[in-house]
Amino acid sequence: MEGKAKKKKRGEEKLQVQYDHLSSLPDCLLHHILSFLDTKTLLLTGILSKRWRALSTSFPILHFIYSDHKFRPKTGEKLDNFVRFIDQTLLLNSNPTIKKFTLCFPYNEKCVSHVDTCIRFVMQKAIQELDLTFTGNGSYKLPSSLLKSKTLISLKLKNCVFGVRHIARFTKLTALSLSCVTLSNLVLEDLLKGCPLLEDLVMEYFMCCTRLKIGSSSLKLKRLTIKVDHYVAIDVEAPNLQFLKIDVADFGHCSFKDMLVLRDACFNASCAPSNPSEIHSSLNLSLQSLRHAGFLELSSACLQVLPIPTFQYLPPSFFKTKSLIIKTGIQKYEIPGIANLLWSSPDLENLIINLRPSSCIYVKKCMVKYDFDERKYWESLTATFPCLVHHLKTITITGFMGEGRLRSSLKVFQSNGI
Amino acid sequence: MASTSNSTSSKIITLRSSDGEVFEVEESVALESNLIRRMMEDDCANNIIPLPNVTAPIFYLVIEHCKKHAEMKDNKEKKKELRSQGEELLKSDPHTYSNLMEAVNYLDIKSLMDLTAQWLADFLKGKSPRLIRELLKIKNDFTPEEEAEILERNRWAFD
Repeated sequence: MEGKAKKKKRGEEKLQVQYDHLSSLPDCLLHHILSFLDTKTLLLTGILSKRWRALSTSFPILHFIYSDHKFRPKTGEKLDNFVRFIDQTLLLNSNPTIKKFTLCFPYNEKCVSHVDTCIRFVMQKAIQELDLTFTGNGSYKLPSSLLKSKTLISLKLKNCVFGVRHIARFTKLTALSLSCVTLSNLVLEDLLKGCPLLEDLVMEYFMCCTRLKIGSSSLKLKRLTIKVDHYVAIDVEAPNLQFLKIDVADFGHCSFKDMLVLRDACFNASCAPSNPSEIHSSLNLSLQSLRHAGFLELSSACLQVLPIPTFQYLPPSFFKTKSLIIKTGIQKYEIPGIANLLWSSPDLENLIINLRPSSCIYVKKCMVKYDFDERKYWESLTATFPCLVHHLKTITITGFMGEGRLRSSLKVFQSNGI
Repeated sequence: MASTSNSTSSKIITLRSSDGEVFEVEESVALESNLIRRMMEDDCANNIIPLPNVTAPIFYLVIEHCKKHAEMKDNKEKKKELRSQGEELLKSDPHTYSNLMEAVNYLDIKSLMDLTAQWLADFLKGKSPRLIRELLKIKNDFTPEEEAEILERNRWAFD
């Protein structure tokens, strides 16, 4: 009856078009819209009408993120509901392929069978992007079946354990991110061998692994991020690497093969003063391998291992760096390294000095090497830095703490007309 | 062929909507559409390009938003403004929204696909199913029992 009244007002044709044109759009379009929704709103659309119900149950992207929802006092019950809900959603999903699957919740041993079920489910549906982020104390042991996925393109794992020597075969994987993952040296080696197309590798705070060897099997690797807070020997041979970021709290052995196409490199190493001098020369050699990077960021410890430059000729292996960020306290043990870097970077255009407190990596007896007055050092320099003459355009100083030490070093720049 | 690819951005392209109206659009704006780009690559550029699936009022909207989108690239405030316009359009005229979405999809304009999808996503967020049905004129074809069952199944998410 209401319809009739409207008909008179607007005319029959117009009423029909007015009626929910949105729901008649093709599935692919509406799925595109759904991809912008969080899981909660996505499910909400499932109760609008049968059409939207079908859309939401055939949606190929599933994100289950526990923290998206408000916590209630009875967390245990809440977690049970969460897990049951995932099971049901998977059961109802009618799409033959799942593109993306995210599972992020505080894992404990009770949930192991549910997570296993999820993985089995998505594996059957030709999963392309999988993200398993487990918060909380428990670690999930990965089933060996996952390691043989022929469809996975991107895999992200947090708080997971790799079993003993399951041979991985990821024939399509291009991006791998491991955070707080437990795996042995051998398993890591096998894993990297099993990913021939890998372009992107992130390794953060891994456990049980003392040697990170990225060898000849990772020919396609373009981006590498490593973040560790314990001793790890790093061995990288990746000729096509473009982006490298390394954060190591306790620097150990390190060896890099020359990376000719490197564009961005960030090396934040710290060294304990007790480390033997071989470590220092190993770090120095590693830095030389980064010399092709146009953008370079170095920590205080990196500066300290660089030798005092001769100021006579440009070293044959000079840096091609155009932008340089150095984190330094401008202390006397860092100054020779800074001078070295500036001397051997003739193409430098931008210099950013990030001032921060630093500590010396040498034990006291070695300090004899740096027994000089840094003010006199800078003021006595008569050599002309090639970068100052040629390209250097901007110098930015951040984190300034009002120390007088900077003045003398800036005088060198001033005297060169910057 | 060579004339199309080497020309400057000030070149004007002529397009005709389904209801016969003729539009003159700058090449840089028109090339946002992958459909038009493909047609030009196939050397249809010297004639008027017909768009049989887009009506004039909708095409006006598309061009307007293409221009705005090009302007806002580095402007955060404009971006916000453009994002907030969806709410108004969806509330006042969901039918035009659907037509716009359809046209953008047909013309294959990636930036506007994402913008219009974001509009609906923002619009749906935080609204009750009843309100959404009412505003978008979606007919509820569930029986009360079916609806209760779905609600019960998804209770975890709706708490």
